[in-house]
Amino acid sequence: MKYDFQQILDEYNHQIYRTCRGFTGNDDDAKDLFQEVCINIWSGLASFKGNSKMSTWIYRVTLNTCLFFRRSGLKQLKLAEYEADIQLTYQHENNPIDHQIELLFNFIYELKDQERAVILLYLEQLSYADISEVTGLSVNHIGVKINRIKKNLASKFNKNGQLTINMD
Amino acid sequence: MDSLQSIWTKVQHATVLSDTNGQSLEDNLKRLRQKERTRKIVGVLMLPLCILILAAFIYLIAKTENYSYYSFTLTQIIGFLLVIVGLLFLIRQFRKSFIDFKNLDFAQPSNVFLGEIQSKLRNRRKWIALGTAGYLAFFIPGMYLLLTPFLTTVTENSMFGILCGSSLGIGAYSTQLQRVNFDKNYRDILNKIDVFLND
Repeated sequence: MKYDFQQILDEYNHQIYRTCRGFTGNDDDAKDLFQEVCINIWSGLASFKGNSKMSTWIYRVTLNTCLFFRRSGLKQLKLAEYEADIQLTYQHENNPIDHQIELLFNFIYELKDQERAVILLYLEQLSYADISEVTGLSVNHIGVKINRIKKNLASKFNKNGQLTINMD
Repeated sequence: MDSLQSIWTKVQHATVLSDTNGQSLEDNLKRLRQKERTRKIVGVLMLPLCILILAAFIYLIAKTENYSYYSFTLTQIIGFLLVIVGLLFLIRQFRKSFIDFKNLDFAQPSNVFLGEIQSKLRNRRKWIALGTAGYLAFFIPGMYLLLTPFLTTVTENSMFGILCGSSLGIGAYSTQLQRVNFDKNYRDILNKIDVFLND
């Protein structure tokens, strides 16, 4: 079965970018990483047999690329003529909503890789079973992890003073 | 009270993306992959080509009158072959240790994917150390057999000492260089993988 690369990008680019942004902590690295993910999706698309959901496959490629991202020398190919035109349009000063977003990204960035991966997938509303399929961790382990991470993030938000976060 | 999920919804609304031009990306990728393939083919052909040119060069020199008086002894030929075998062994081990990150299967579950990289990174040093050791094991006796007939100013024992000393020095230096490179390029990622897999 042949899959349309453009169609896949159109459908998943936002999710991919948010995951990249959560992993890198800044927009510049996120753009580089986004490009890497696109390359890996393009390279792997021919071997996608449809054994899992397309979304799971995309998240696997995205997450593994993020986990493997090295700041220097990672770029597989120099795509000088191509640059992803994508960003998060929030400004972190003065606006409380934007400040919340900025804090959330900062706190996620402070987590360990595995926790970061799990919480980003959870926030993208993947089910525990899907997260398990993407990460290879057991569903129980994921449940425990997510509770722990949510507590951790909530306490960071609360310590910050201005915001009160529950753990829903 | 805000939940994490509701903040993430705001993040979702804040994600702005102009259409990703998949066609342009794909065209670039195809072109670059083609270039890479060509470079690979040239790389593969270069070694036999160099050997052929070298052999032709040696043959031409041997054919000239000035050099025709000297013929290699069987011992020297064996020595020469040992040096070549050592070199081939070293190349083989270095190739084995090379991790082709471009061809990793990124679509595996993360713990399988990272486990694979972890094992490759750990084995990498083993292959390199084995390659260097194997190379020296062939190179030292090979050079010894090859060069002994030429000795005029030093004794055989001195020659053996010089060969061992210089080869082990070069071996130690290259091993150290590999270690530094490994630490620079892969130590951090290996540590991160260890944490991910053991958490």
